[in-house]
Amino acid sequence: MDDLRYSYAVARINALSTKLLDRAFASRMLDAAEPSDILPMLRETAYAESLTAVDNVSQLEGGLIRELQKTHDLLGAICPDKELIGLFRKRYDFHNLKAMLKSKITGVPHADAIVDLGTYSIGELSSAVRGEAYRFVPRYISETALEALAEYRKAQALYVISYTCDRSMWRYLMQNALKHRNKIVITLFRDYINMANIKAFVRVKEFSKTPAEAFRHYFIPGGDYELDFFLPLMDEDTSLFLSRLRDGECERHIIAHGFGSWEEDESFWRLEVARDNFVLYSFHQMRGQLFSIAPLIYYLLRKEAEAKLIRTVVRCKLSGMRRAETEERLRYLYV
Amino acid sequence: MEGLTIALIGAAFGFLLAALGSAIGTGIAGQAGSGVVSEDPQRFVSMLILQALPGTQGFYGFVALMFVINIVLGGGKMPTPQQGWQIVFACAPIGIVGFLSAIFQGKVCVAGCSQVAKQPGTLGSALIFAIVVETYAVLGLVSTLILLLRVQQAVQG
Repeated sequence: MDDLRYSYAVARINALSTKLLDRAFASRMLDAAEPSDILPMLRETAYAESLTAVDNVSQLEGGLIRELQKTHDLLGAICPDKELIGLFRKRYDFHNLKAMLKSKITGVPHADAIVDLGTYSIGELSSAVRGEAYRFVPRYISETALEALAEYRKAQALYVISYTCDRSMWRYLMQNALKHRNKIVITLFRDYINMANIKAFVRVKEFSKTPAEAFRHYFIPGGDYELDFFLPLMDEDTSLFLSRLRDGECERHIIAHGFGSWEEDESFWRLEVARDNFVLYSFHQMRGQLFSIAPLIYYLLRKEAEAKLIRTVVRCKLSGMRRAETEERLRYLYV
Repeated sequence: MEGLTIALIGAAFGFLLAALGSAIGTGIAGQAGSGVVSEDPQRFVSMLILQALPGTQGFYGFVALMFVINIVLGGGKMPTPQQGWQIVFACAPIGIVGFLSAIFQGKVCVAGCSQVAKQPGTLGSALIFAIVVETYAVLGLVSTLILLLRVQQAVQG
């Protein structure tokens, strides 16, 4: 059913989408001789305003975050379902909480890991975590923090913080998507959960001494595959397990691209690129649904992909990586 | 109920539905236009043209309303209840077709607004897509007028 409330927001976003970076621009960035040559290029684009305070490449991250903040602010202001679009921002609350909890336990400063894109103030969250005083923070944060700390006290292992926060985040996001009965967002979150579970499964299978026990902790409910699906497959060869998943379009694409070269380097970066590409491609197909939230999510995903693209090009150039290798790591840009 | 009352109710509903459809159609097209102009003020004229298109159905409904008033109050004779019902059914095409076509045309215009926002040179094709929907509103008006002409001949004797 068409939701006519989206007319304004979608038209505005479609007007803005003409300013998104395209493949030609990505190619220009790749051709840049030095990482610092990328800054003047970005100043010719929609990033100009966000990069006013950026003088060199080391400050670029701040500019990218400011641009994403602008995008989230705009979408939050014009989207008729503010709570629904706000869920995409709440992911960063969970991420920041996770970084702060780990920092508190290890004593290592968390400044680099914090992303100032969440809905809750970084300063307030930081003081709540430092003092373990969660009385006045939003319930989804306090419950996650208390659960993660309780799990950590039992296991005394840092990774427990990660999986508890991730599980809590997806549970919260999925519950809210279901509350709004928005099929587009529900399907997106379900795909992310599926991929997180597949990745966790392969990781524990390959690297854990007690894979079944470890996977019980990592498993995130809410996806298409239940825990009972994974556990009996724990003793099978990884390639056999992957072939069993090839039922859905999402899995077929991601598994083919993400695990195609698994035996070469046993690394997950291809899986992450394949997942991002698939999600972008799905929303690229849905961008014509003018009376739904899909074009807004597509725009947000494109902006996030742009930030990853710029970051990847700059880092690869700084490390002296060859162009072909850099290209392989880039998120595909759909225009 | 008298023939005059029935005829006026028919004319009123014919206009009401067509105008309501136009209000919805221009409303959603206007929102989309406003969204585009927020980012690109130079597109104002294109957006205005696209917004105005779903408004024609309301005018068609108004033409039908004036025609009915002319039939029932323009001559010396009042319509019978049977002729009043004939006028109600004669007004149905523009009322129903006008209502639905204005909403669908509004949606086509919203798509047109996005199309022009992305590719400014495509206003012509966006208009053509919207005008195809307009064809059926025009057919609805023509049908209503032909039917009302027949009723007018019967009323005026």
